[in-house]
Amino acid sequence: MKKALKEPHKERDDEARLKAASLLQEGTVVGVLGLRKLESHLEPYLFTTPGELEKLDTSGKYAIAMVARRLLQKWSSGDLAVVAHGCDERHLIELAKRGALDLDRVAVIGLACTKDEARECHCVRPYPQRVDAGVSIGDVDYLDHERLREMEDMSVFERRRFWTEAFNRCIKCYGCRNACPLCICEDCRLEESRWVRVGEIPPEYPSFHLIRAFHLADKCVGCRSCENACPMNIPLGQLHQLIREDIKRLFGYEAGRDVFEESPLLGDVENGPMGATADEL
Amino acid sequence: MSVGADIERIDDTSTGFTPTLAVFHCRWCLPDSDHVRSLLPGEAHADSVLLQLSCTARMEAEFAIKAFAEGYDGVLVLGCELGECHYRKGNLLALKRLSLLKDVLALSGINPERLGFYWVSPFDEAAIRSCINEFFEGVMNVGPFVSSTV
Repeated sequence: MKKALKEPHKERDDEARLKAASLLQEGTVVGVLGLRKLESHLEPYLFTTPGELEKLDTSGKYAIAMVARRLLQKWSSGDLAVVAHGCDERHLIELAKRGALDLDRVAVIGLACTKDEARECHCVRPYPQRVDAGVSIGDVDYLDHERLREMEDMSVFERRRFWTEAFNRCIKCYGCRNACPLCICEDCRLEESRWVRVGEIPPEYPSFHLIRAFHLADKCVGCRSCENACPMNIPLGQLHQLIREDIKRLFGYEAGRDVFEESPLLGDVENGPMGATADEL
Repeated sequence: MSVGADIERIDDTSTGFTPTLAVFHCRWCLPDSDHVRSLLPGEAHADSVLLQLSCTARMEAEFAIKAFAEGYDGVLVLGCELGECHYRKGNLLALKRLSLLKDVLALSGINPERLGFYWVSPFDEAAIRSCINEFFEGVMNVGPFVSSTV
């Protein structure tokens, strides 16, 4: 019993190890990026020999795309395999869209999440495009509908009260930004005194959080890394989910779905805004 | 998104409310800030700022967000008619960005009436005036934007 708890996803671990080992043996990749099990916790680790792979663990939640991006940036050549959950793969896709990462250099070892994992993350798509380890449970709907509808039913004024109260808890630790694999601007607006007052907490409403929310509006894949990182329990996941629903309603766009699907806020003006062509407007 | 007859008015002393506006206008259709200022209704606060953009596509969400953080009551964007952009598609990009921003503002508790964007012809001043008036009425209706610490 104790052993089962220690290795809750043994089968999935083994499948991932097998796939990783074969990639390493083929020599197509320089290394396999995944989570390594230590005594008390997991850490991201680059596995370069099949012998190390027994330490590979698939149970943790970690925005590993961020590490993949940094590694590939450093390496002038060589491919990388990434052990990725559905959300990790969507991160990689969004990074690739913005030229921050070359998907041709990435081999994804896809992990399907279990029901419990999906529920914990309020996920709707707990699987990557190709599943290599674990069993996909298909599309689910673990969104926190009750709270989302509650927020939608609020009047603008009530929302104002709700979010000022939440944002006023902010201690400006920048955890939300640092935890987000899609926050990739070289110079962060949130550090510039022009946009956010430096050395003051809480940040003035609405600048800090709205700037971040808008920057991520067309990138966010809903992994909730920001919410998990926040020490002050600001419900950022909810804000981003609402924005994601909105961008889907306005433009029919969903981040992380397809690497060839361009963000409506960037290019593709050929088709005009909101699906109409320029001539119709 | 239904915002209904939401009133953000916190104090009811707003009878003499003169909204302070941040107006961003495209240099190709409305090159002269003073001219745009003259089109604002008389009730607009004298501290309203007028800023010329090279194209409405330059209008970043941060500009509006910063204006609200500084306590402006409304943000107005005036650009060329769709299809008439000097850079061909700048205003289409702006339209998409601002439409999304409007919703993001509404979600986070800023009345979307406070953000207005209109695509105007420089040859039809009456139409420009009516656009500005429509926006202005909306801002008057939602009242002053009270700064960060409610």
